Amino acid sequence: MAVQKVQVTHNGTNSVGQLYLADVGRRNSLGGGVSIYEYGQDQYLNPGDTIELVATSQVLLSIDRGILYTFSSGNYAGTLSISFV
Amino acid sequence: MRITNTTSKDITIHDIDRGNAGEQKGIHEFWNAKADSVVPANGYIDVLDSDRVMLSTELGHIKKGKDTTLLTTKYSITGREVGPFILDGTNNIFKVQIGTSAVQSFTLPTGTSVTMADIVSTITISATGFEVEESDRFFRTSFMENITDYSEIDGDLGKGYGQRGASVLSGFLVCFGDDIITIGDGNANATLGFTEGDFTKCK
Repeated sequence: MAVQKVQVTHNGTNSVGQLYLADVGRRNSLGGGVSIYEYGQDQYLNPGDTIELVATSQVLLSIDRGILYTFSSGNYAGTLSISFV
Repeated sequence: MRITNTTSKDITIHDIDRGNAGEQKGIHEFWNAKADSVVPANGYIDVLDSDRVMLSTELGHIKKGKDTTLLTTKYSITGREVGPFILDGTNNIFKVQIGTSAVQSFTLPTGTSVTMADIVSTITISATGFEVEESDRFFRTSFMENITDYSEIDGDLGKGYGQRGASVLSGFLVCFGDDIITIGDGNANATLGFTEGDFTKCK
């Protein structure tokens, strides 16, 4: 492992379809050149998808209290499975 | 993370920090701005494993530099205190874990003026899977000033906290290597400026 990452799997439970992880996405979408924040981290997950995210502070916050939490341990527990890889 | 330039020309990494004075950014990004985004020819820099550094390593300019072998990287973690230190039996144990191997414990020399060179020498004797050195390139811009006094201070317009002191350019303990480095529960952590459980996040 060269960079700490989080693996997210959409288990397709609870009738939840495509998920947009808005809270791990864009930070600087206004003006200027494209910065590092604009690529790689905004993710759509379809049922059955498995993705890997760089474990940035946004991703960790989402796991703790954001969208990733809601669909893994919160109101829609089990929809997403999350593990550090 | 330690970034080494394998070429004979300086390489600027544009996506780990733009370094613009006054630009709003988190403290960690700010620290990297204070550090450097230029990797000197045939030299190296140590930077904090901030979000930007992680993303650049995975997706950005650092990745591109590695893919083209212009850059190589290692895990690194840097302490936040400089010597000489007062070390005795209560603060002379430094522990690290490399990857998932057994925790390594180092008994540092004691005294009222233990230098970083003394500490580096001691750890180097038995360090396995990583190396240590006294930092040279972590905080090195001319305007970097550390806070030396956190007490309340009266000013002309009110009270403030923190007083700036002389610039600190080098002298921190750097641990670096090819596997993840995790700081253990040694009682020297506070003295050397490490925190138990801190670990390297990218290389």
